[in-house]
Amino acid sequence: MSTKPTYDDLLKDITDRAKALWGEGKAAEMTAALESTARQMVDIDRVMPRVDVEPGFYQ
Amino acid sequence: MPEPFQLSVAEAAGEIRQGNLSPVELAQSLLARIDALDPSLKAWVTIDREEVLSEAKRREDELGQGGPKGPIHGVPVGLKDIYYTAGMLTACGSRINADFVPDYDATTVSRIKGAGGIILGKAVTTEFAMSDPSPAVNPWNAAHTPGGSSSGSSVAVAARMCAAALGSQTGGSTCRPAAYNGIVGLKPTYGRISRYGVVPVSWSLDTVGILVRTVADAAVMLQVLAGHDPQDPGCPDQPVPDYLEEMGRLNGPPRIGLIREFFYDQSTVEVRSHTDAAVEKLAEAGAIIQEISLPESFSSAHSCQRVVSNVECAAFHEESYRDRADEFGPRIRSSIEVGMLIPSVRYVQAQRARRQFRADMMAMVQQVDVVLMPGIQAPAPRDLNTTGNAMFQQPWTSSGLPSIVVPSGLAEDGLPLAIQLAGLPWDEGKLLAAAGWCESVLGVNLSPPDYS
Repeated sequence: MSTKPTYDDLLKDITDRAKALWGEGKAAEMTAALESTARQMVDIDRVMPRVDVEPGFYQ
Repeated sequence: MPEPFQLSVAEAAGEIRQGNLSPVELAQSLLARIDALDPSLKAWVTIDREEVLSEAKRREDELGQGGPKGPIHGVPVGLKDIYYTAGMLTACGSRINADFVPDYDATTVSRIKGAGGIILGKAVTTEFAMSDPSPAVNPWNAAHTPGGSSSGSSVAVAARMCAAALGSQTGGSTCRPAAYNGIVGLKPTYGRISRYGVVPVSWSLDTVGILVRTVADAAVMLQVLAGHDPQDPGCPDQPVPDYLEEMGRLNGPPRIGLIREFFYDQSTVEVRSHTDAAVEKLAEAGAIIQEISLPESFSSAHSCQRVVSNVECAAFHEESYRDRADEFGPRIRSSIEVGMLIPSVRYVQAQRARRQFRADMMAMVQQVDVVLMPGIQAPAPRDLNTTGNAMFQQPWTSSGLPSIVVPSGLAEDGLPLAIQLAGLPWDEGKLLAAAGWCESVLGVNLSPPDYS
């Protein structure tokens, strides 16, 4: 069974952060951006490299 | 000889070296051109005419005293308004930086001056090189976006207000506006040109970009700018070859890897058939065309680019955002806010995925000399609330591989189209050679009709 966070998990996480930082109203205004960001994070998780691949930073 | 403002970098520098053109005449011609066109094209934000003319006079005097200082002696160059220029406003298209005057020159600015170039002025940028549109106007059709974020630099080169300008690329900000405006845009390998003194969007993605009208000019400008800078931790000590010599080293037509996957899927029918026609022409001239496939890691490349860009943008602007959030435009503000929310583990995973992606893209490109795809999905959109879509450029920025767009013709609506080529890291020589070959086979030299 996959232990990777789901789209819903990731969206809830960043939405909760938005509410904590700026309140419910602002978080609601950001819905489209938050959904898009959650999709991006799911995308990245889907094709993760082997565990020995280090971050690139300065390529 | 044509009017001085029409000359390319190589032509102008050649005429100056031979004594047929004075740096002052060239500067005067470009300033007159700017006076005539910029009220409608809005490509420039700061031009110090007296300083430009006094520098031109100094360059003229130097010619008589010891000869040219370098390959662009006497040639004025435009700078996107995110490059530090000592004593000159660097506003970044923003209210936050509206009064910012750096006290030193970016390394790139110093290198232009060291090669005999003249800083012509600062070109309009989108706010902090992000995606809130700038006031610059597309010279091909004012109802269409000129693209961004290097909008002023691209418009200025396309409309012959300068032969070369610097842009930058974090997503698609050099090659996309170049394609929209019918000029050549070069995004070198990440780290090939110093970013020191360039206001960042995202440290690990930002790449200095070159906007010119010919591939040979891209080589000349890269020669001036490339090379190690200890002030930029991402700019390593890699050898810098003689790019013009490398361009001449191509032994026959190149082996070109055509990438239809994704790039054709995302293009209009017109762009697909236009690219096919261009490829056919290249094949008829002898290019070996081989269709190649993208690696699996390509599927997350755009997402990695967005996540990394937003997080690093948030980190850079955190302090300004805390005190002056309302002074940011809506799109950069949204990027900062989203970047502040992305968990650190997700950011690091994006950077790990990018490293794998770079290795996979290098393995793909190694099968051929260069890869080719459409430069843009469609001509510049008829929408001034956007700078267009960077999805054809983001993979090359994210992987750090060098890429170049070369004009390939006009769409039915009269707007420019382009092909995009990419090569291996640090091998801009081969990329420029192949791009120059394609440019010469296609024989497309675009000039906006209302500004010709």
